[in-house]
Amino acid sequence: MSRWIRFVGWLFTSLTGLCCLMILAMVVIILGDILVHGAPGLSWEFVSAEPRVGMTEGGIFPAIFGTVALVLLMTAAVVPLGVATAIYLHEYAAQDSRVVHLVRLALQNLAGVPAIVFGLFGLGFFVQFAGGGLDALFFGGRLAFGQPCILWAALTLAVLTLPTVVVATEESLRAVPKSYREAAYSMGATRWQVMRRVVLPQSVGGMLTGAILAISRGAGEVAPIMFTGAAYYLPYLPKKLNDQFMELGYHIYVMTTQSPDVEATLPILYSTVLVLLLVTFGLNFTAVIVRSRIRRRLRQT
Amino acid sequence: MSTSAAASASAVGIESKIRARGLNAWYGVFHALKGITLEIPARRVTSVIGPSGCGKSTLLRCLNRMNDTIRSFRAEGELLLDGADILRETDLVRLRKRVGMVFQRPNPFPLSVFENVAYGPRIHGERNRGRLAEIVERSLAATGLWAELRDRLAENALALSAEQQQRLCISRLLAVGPEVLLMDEPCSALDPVATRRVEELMQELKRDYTIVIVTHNMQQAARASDNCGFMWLGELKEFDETGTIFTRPKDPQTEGYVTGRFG
Repeated sequence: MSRWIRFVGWLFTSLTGLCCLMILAMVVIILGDILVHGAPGLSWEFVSAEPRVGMTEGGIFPAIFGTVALVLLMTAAVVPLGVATAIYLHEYAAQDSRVVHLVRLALQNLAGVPAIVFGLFGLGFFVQFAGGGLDALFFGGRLAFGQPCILWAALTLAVLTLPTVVVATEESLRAVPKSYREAAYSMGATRWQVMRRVVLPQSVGGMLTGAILAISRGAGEVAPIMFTGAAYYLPYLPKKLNDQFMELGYHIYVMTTQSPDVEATLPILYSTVLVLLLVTFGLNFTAVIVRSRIRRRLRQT
Repeated sequence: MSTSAAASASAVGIESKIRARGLNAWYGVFHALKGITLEIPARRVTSVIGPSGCGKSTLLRCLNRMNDTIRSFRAEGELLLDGADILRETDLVRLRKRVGMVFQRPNPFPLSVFENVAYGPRIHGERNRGRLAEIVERSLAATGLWAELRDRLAENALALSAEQQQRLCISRLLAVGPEVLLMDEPCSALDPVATRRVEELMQELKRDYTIVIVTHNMQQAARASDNCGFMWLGELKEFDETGTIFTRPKDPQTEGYVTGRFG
């Protein structure tokens, strides 16, 4: 009997440990494969030039630039919106009210919507409805915003990453001890003063964590932007909000599926994947640095 | 002054700061305060004792409306601060500026010592750096912290000892310029030596402030307060001078509690 129990225990430990090993192995294999095949193709020209000869030569600079611009625009849109939503939900709204319940339900559903559906939503809502409306109202019907462009792609990604930011911000607001709020209230602070001087400084780190998670999620998504702004091939950079743009993830998708000679693009493909990983990592790293800077400054004052 | 209690208070020359008559309070359907009537004298230490859940903290939190954040909470009756109705006060900022609170666990903000004390004056509009420094020094001096911390004003308040933190919280409150200090078991997180120092501090502060302290430490009430009320299941069973409560209680339950037979 006891030997049997010991065997079950051993079996369970081994099985769960094996699962962990498998995950580790998968990460190593994926990263290793990309690194081995992608690293030789990396060069200054690759990251600074435009694609040439049916994307079998040249570089991917427009796609790198487009990805960074897209993610920054998305962050600029999603962080204020998400933080404001979370603050209202957690600090201002009555917790048992129907509206709060509905907003939370909507956010949960939003988090479960497949990315391609966001793409179609972006096309219908942003490109056609919002963009078309702007054109009709301000551009006399001339085509300006009623087309896929970086602005609509960024906003579509912002909708996709909104739940992430809201949840992370709410989490950080919840983490501010009640005793801080009570202390401030008991000295006659108004709700805004408690927010401004006690709650927000304490939770700003968590909000930036939300931004980091949003960047990680948004930087790799292809489906939401393929109808709303990403271009197959553009030798120039987006200069205005209503320009189209190249994007690394989409570029990878295009090269694997649409290229006239997939075999010839394979080395470039590998290098592009490596660059996408590096760019995502770089954006994340920057955000982490910004967060620790802000935290340190808050601790000093 | 119509009640006999008020008459007797004024007869011995003690003005009352806070007066409650028929004060009732509920959390939802739970009747937490049942017809509380008492007079809290100005510039004295008034303690409220009683077993856990008897309503003493609720009573304290009525005095500066800290229970307003609890949605199911409701209070009725008469509760006057210098004759003005607390329960119908619409300007809670003004009320809490006059009636501040010290909590059970020291709760300094995770900021520097200076910023903690300057917080109150700042939210009430004081911007002048010189005047802020003056207020901070005065408030820290009032709790004896200035001598200890004058060179550590930039240090994070969370690095202080629990007792220093609690005195810092009192300083932070004094900086707002209150008239009444509400203390909700201010020493329950402190060791006996620290507790004594806070009690001594209360004796000094009562020259300028009206202090109401809730405690379930009976020795503390006996040592540190001038007047004392005993609460039991939401009722104020007895309210008198502290000496009387502890030596000649009129209510049998009060006697049972102060002699340690229950509670």
